[in-house]
Amino acid sequence: MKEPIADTEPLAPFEFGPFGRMLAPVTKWMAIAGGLVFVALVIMSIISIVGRKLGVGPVPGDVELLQMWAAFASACFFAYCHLHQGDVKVDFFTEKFPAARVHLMDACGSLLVAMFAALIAWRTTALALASKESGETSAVLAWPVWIGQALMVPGFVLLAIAGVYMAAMHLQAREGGTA
Amino acid sequence: MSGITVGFLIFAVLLALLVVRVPIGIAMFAVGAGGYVYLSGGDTLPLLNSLKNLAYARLSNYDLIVIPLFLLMGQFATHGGLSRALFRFVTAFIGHYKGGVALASIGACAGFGAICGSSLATAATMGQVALPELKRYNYAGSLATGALAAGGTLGIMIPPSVPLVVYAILTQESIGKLFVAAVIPGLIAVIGYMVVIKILVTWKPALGPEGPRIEWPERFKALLEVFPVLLVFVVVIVGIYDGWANPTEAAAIGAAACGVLAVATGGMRTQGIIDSALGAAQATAMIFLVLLGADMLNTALALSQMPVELAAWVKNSQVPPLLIMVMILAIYVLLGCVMDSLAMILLTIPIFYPMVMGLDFWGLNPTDKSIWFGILALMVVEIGLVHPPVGMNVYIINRLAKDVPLRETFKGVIPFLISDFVRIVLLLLFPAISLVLVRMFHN
Repeated sequence: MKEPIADTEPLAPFEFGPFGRMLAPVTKWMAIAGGLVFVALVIMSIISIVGRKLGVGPVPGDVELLQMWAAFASACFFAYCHLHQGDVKVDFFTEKFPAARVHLMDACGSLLVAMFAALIAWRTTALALASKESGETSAVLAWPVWIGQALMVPGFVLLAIAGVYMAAMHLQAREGGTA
Repeated sequence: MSGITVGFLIFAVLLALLVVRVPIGIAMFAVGAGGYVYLSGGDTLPLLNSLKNLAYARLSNYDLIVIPLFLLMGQFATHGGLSRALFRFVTAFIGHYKGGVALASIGACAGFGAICGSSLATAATMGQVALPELKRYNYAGSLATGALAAGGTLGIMIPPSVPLVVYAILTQESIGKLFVAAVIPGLIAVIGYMVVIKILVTWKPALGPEGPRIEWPERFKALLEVFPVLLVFVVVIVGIYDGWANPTEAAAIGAAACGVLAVATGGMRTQGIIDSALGAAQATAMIFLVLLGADMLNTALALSQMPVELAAWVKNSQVPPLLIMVMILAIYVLLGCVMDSLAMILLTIPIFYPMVMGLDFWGLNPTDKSIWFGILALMVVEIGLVHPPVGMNVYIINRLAKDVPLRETFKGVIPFLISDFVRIVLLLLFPAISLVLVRMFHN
């Protein structure tokens, strides 16, 4: 699916500046990594199901592995999506607006994305620290829970950076340049 | 302030944010967080505490993992050329009728919808395959694009369906039951669209001439090619329903099967796998961001007691339940003018669901009622994809068919919208259509 949401964006995709050319591949590879984690989880699930049906039993801890790694992989996707202007927005009311005003609104939107991501990154870190302190472990494999939680943090940090960067890009575009 | 006042205030601010293009998920999150702080008496500590687990609890939710898995499955199906095989297959059997190539497009959309949970993807993928063929056989632009834009909605109407998964999670309903319940309404949609095409080409034969006649040996070859697709669908749906695989496992089986098919028969290689991963990443992030925001919003709304108070008020208002349901459906059609289908479900179900559950519809028991409402809501939000002004599917198809003016496409969609409308009335008046399969399997 060439997810077509982004195409309905009235604004042309940005020419990334030097920082963007550094950021874009990082988010892209992170998204690919997340996607490949899901592929791996699919394979593990198949082994688990077949094992269960054949009576040799599922992969030990398959459910908790799936949950932990899916959380990590999903967190990897956000920055890539935001950098490609893939957010779901209502553009019905602003269709006829001059581009400069739309850029200003989108700059504010991206800034809010950044604040949201920073907040989530901070609170998830707090959760991971608390789980580490309490020594909570998963039910079957007895893996420390905090590792799974901490793995999500980089994804949200990257989303925060992407949000700030996109806000800057929109502001620049408003003045007719590129960052 | 009463709960209802706070609740309405939250929605008012939310709408204002949406109008100025704040991403939907973020807008929901912002008003939810603001409302939460207000309801905790201005103290931010409860908010910060509840935020700790927001992301991890959501993204590690076992049921929710079906969404990225189904998206990955759809990606493999797209990059593995399964759409082409499906189209060839349906054309081989019904292409030679009047309007046959358009009929085949609908059929192929339905087939693709059975392995893909997204309407936009179905419209885009099938559009690429079918539009050139429709043009080759001199189909009118309005019929070609209208049929494909409408056919694309079969992507979510025929299970697996991402909006249904979200509905199931929000209402703690069984994903399996909802999928099974969607099968007959989905088939009715297919038949409805085909009837529309038949009527149109009978009325004006020039709109859609006969396609190629294919001989039986060729037909069998085409059948063999799509047989695996059929198998994937049956395994996923029956597996979930029969209970030998839970939805997450069934989605994993589906994704694996489509991946293997794409590599084995569709020539998908490393680049295709990377593209699939990126496509799934983009779509997942889009959906999950809205989901995280909706979580925050729903926490605040629950704290405000607004949904409960509103449901009680509606229940005591003595307005006939059917009228309330019609109003709810009308609101969906209106919201569909500006909003994406999934965002609509996430935004409204927390309010509408308690309302519907508090009312009596033909004496349905709560489970039946919640399944029936889920299917109805799905059918209504889906038509937002084809009606003006947003009509995402219409834009996608129109962009693919470069020589057809947008106005033609919107005109072409109207007959299909009428059939959508008829179907929704049927489903509204006869809940049994949605429930019969569930009851049959479930005992």
